[in-house]
Amino acid sequence: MNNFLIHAIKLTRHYRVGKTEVAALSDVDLIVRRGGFTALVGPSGSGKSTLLNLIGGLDRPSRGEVSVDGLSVGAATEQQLARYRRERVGFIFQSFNLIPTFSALENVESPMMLAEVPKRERRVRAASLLESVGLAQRTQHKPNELSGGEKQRVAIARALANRPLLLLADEPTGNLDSKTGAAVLELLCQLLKAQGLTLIMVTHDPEIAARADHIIHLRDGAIQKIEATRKTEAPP
Amino acid sequence: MNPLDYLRTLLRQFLLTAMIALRALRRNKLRSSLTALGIIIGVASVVAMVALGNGAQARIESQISALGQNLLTIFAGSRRAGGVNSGLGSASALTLEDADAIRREVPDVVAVSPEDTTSAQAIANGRNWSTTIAGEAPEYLEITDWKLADGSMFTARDVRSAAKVAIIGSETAHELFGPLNPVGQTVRVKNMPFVIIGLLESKGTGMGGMNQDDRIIVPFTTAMRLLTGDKYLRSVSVQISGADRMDAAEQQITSLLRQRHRLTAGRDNDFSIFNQKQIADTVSSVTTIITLLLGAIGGISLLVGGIGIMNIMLVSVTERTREIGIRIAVGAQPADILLQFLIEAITLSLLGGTIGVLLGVGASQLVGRLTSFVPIVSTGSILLAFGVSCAVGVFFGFYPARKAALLNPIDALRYE
Repeated sequence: MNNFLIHAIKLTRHYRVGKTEVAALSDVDLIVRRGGFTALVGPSGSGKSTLLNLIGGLDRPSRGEVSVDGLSVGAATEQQLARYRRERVGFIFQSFNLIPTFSALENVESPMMLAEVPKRERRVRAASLLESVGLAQRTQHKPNELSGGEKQRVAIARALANRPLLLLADEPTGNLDSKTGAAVLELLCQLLKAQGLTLIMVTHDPEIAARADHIIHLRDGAIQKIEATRKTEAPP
Repeated sequence: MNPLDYLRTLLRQFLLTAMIALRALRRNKLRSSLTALGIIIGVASVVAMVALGNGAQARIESQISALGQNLLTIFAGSRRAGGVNSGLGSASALTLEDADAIRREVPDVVAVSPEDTTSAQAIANGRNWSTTIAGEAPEYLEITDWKLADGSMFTARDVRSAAKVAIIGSETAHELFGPLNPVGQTVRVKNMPFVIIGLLESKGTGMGGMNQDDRIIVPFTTAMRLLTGDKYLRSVSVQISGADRMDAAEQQITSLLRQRHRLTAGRDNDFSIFNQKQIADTVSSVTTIITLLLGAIGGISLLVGGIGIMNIMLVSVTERTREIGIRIAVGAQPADILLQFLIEAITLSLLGGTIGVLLGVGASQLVGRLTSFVPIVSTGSILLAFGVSCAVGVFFGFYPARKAALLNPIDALRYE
């Protein structure tokens, strides 16, 4: 439990599409340690997004189990999952997924609103988070007034709002040009080191994957191999 | 956490959710207004129609009670033969002895006024005016609960001597004397001079559009002897001791008269009785039914308004599927989503309800000004309309809110 943040045992997810059953993920066993950057790579349909969603509690496994920081995500109740997503996980999506009627500041505040954080504290923290991602000048802007890179930064600030342990990013640079994408990636890596977070990112860009500590290759719903890119201890 | 803190947090969260809900409504003001319009019209129509119905009812009731309290009027001649002035000259006769018998023998009778009424030209002050000449007893004023504006009523002695004295109604006085005080003046009826000794207070238009202020009242003996030549009374007005005794008294008077007129079983009454209470009751139940029907129609439009809310909320949920997914990903509970959409629906319906009440009150006032009804807005109907509009919001908002709360976040996030 100590060093392991995520422990998946025979994790399986299938969908019924019409009459056929599609196995998005089959019997995945996985351990991810605390801290560090893990990339999930693989062709489309390999199950990487499914794995991410299962870890994040947005989806439930059909069979098997995944536990994160001691919480058995598959077996948790709706309320427990909501709390888990609120307090322990931060999501970053390819299409940013900001709330269009909220300003940048309010978007960053939104997880704190759900966590019943009092207004003043919320405002202060949101402002400082936006500052740390370089958007102190843009707090009152609505999403449609921000560029792609700026939106993703807001999303990152939001993901950090409730001090999560785990950041889950699904192709975060997919909708950004290479320069902006690189800047966003840089930001993420910095925050990672500064706050001791664990980051799991789905990507199909090998350059991005190369910056991870570990790369998990998926194909057809199963793990092909796990690479360690740095001189960190090899995972089991 | 102590209970006070808990409440404070609950309130804060509620207000926050309300803020988010209101912002969503403001985002599309036109749509929100159109949706609320259904409720506005529904509530306004309920409030206005019930107010008008109540006003009409009150108006009619006051007209009936303006005739007098607990009044029974016995007319000579059966109803089939026609009303007061049929004058068939048949054996159907109401006599003074009948009137006396009624006064003596029917226990619930408080006062009796034998009547002989006709119409004639009244000439005075260089003008003439065709009016009703009502021959009555002094008790008449008491029976009809009518006060004098000036002067005094004639007495039993005037009745005994068939004196040529008269009480004049306000309308007739105005026609003949203008602004002059008629008391002490002389008016000629059928070429005979009558001294006016009293002026009646205005009573306004009575039932059936009859203007009660257009008449001259003289002793009935004078009327019979000098004006009509009738040997018999045309009617008798009777006051009963209490509203609950009216029907019993009517029965008693009927059997008394049948006995006196030697009417055997199987023969119709040769008189007819106008029971003020029965008429009032009938009118009351009719107007109540009408008011309820009108209210029900308003209620139906309220229902339609509710369906409108549900419809729009469903569209709204579909449109905001992505946004709902985002909230779930960020950690919202199904209960938070449910509450948010429910608050949106209730805000629409309460807002519509408030505007509807104001509009309904305004509309009923306007109609009141154009017609002669005074609308009565009952607090009960306002509270009911409010309560119902709130319930409509909750009821019709619930299904869409639930739908939103149960969305699968992954599908929702993928929604275009």
